[in-house]
Amino acid sequence: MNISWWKLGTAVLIVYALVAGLMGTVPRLVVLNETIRNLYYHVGMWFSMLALWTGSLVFSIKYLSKPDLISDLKASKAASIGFYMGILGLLTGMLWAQFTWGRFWTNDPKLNGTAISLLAYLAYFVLRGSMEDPMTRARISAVYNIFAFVLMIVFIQVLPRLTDSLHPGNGGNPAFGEYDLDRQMRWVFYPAMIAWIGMGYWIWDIRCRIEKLKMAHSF
Amino acid sequence: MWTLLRHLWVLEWRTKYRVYNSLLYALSTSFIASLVVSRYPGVSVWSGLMWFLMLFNSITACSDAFRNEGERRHIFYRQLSRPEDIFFSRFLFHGLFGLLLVCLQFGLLCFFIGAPSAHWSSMFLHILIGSVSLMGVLSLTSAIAAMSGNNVSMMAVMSFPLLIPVLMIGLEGTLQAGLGDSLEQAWKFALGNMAMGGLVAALGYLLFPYLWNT
Repeated sequence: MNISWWKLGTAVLIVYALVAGLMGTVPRLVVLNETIRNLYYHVGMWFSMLALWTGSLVFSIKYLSKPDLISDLKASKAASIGFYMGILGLLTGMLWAQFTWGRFWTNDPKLNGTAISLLAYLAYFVLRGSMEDPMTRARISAVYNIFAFVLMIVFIQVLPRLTDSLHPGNGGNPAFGEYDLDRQMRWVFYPAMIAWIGMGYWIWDIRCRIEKLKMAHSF
Repeated sequence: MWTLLRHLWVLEWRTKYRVYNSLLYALSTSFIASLVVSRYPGVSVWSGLMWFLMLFNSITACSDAFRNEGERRHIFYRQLSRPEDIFFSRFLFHGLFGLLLVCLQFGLLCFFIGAPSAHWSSMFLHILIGSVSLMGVLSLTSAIAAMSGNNVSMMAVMSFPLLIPVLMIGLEGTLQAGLGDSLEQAWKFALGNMAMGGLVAALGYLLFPYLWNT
């Protein structure tokens, strides 16, 4: 069986993140308690989403500089898998918010930023669906993708700094790393981040290969 | 570019459709707003209402900024001018038009439901700055909508998520200004929105040629 090293590594890391994340020792903190374990999963989904959307951006730029339907395919698949990761990040975050902040949804700038970026990518999919011609679709959606990505990044970076947020590291709240991400947690946290990014990349790879096969059959 | 601007102006002047359309839109939305909220509703309701009306007003005003003027006209434009010039001329035209519209909307709201607060002038400044970046985002999304051959609803779907940042920064700034915050604190938001406008214009400049050259 031919399996590449990064797939093996990702699989090992995912298992490690699940086992060590749920079984390992974590610091006892007021309010957070055991929910701090969610850090390994909730933050990981965002990392994975951002990595995929950055990949989508790269392939959109690549398409505009050299029109090639494969780049467009890669960009659109990265966007859609990033979208699923975003939904997962939102769900894990909502669960966490319910147990620490007391509500599933708060009017937090980070939550708003997430909602907006998910909406923007939904609009991207709708836009893609509205056009028939593959070349036009690829070109116009690439333009929209770049525009949306840049605005999204600016928004996620800028707005939480202008207003208060319940999230750590914003609005006077200390960041996690400063005091409660102890050494024990770091040993799980960083491998877990790599694991989720690797998983996103893996799914993306499979989806692209399926689509390429479909394209090859239709011609 | 100035020729293109004049061309747009002449086209507009010939029909005056857009002017009357937007005038009527601003008038009727302000009137409806006066029916919905009571007189002197307080700063937060007032600025919320103002930004909400601005959002819809500018979407209606901008939705046909890059409307398809037919295949032959398109080729004609392409031969005569650079796409960057086309983008900037339309951006400027609609930006100026939007500014006028916002002034009008502000006046109408003041007339119908009363001035928001004693600090209305700094609020007005925030609203003006915000409206420019609003128009910037809208001009690129309307270009995308026009080039994909889609209608106004596609434009709204695409613009809303991208406009929310502008809206939130602008609204927050307006609120703070209206509540009489010190200038330094409120300026943060104005600067944020100005940076946003600059960013959008730069992106439009970079991306528009790819849209335009079919």
